[in-house]
Amino acid sequence: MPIRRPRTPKPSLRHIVFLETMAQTSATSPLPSGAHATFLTLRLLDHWIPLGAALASPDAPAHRATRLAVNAIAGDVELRRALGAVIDAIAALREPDAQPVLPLLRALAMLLEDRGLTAQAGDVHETITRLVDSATQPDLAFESLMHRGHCLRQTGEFEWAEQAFGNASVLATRERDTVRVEAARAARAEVQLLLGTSQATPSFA
Amino acid sequence: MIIATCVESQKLVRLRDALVEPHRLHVALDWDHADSIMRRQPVDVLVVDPTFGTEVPDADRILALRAEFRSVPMVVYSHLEASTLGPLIALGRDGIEQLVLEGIDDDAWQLRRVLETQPGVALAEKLIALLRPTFKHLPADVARAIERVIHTPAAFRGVPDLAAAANVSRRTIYRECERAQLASPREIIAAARVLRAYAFLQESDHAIEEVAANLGFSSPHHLTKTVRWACGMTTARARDRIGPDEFVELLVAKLLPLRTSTS
Repeated sequence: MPIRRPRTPKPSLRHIVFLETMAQTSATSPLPSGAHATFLTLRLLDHWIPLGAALASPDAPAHRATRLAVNAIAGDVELRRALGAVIDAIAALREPDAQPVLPLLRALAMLLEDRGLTAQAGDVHETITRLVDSATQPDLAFESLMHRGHCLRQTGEFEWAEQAFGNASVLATRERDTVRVEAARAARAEVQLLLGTSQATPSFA
Repeated sequence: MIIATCVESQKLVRLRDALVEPHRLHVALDWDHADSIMRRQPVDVLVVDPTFGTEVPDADRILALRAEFRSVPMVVYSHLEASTLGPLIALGRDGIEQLVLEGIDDDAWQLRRVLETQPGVALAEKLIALLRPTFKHLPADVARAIERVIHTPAAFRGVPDLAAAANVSRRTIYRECERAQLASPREIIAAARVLRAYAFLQESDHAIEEVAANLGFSSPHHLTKTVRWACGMTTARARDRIGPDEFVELLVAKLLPLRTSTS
């Protein structure tokens, strides 16, 4: 049975959180160049899959602009390397296939999460959950759903966090991984308690 | 594909480079003209620019146009700089999903592909292509009006609108459709709406409730009822279980009932 397609509270422009970061920060701070480059890299990946290999060519304007934006990141070697690895992977593949690129995207998401950029990390995790083939990469699919759920919970979007944990639970059940099933259910129950929608009756015995 | 544009001249040049025959371009001179084009012409995609006709980039006119014509896929074509961030965020938060960045995404082939893959464009073309042999049995005005309703379903509230677009009376358009062994005008409008709804649900993250509202259905239940008429399934099942080609075939079977039953 397919996992329900995750839906945002309201459809919006993909990776809008990076535009919001750019709009909030002053032009002299190093963050806008990082947010700008991450925004362009994620868009390159999004466009590469439906539009084909021509976009991966270093001569393609989208590829060139993204590479320039990544190289322009000043004083943040980690982010520059993480984004550069994603672009290199796209350029190296002859045919568009997101699966080999997704582990690199996860590294980017974890980097952002470690820095406390929860909304941005959540967006990258969302990109992974959208593109990952859960049949061939179940670990990546599960971890991304769980991390996305945590990011959404941190940003106060409890309903969507619950959905992410619910999907993680379905995936783990399909994989017959009881430890993960319990982990996802526990995370979901925590969010349900915050929402006040828990079906479970507390036991006082 | 028929495209209406409200973009600055530089971007218009890029669009013209990208769009070759048989695509058609309606160029708006200002926002009111864009509104007028949308009301009078069949339009598959609307391309808008927050810097069009103003020194300070602004989302308000685009949002007003979008509120009026929510069923028409909208592509925002803009450059990315500090002054455009505010409008882009406002448009993105309103649900616009397609953004083309000037100098980045506007290579001719890429721009063309983005426009061609907007929800409903390819499906509408496909449905029209399959119905075209039947259109030969219709007066040219009626055939054109039916093409218009398939391209821009939300612009037609009912059969009187379709009859007015074809310059005939309501009774005449029913008679012409019957003579051409085509389904009734009411069913043609329903099929056009349901096709666009299906395309939106397949190709974007819109919820069923939102798609129903955007396409002029009185409620999601009404949309579900129409989808059930078209393919015998609920909206969600049709989205998940029927492929685009199969969906168009099912609509053709509904719109050409006699030919399907005799073949």
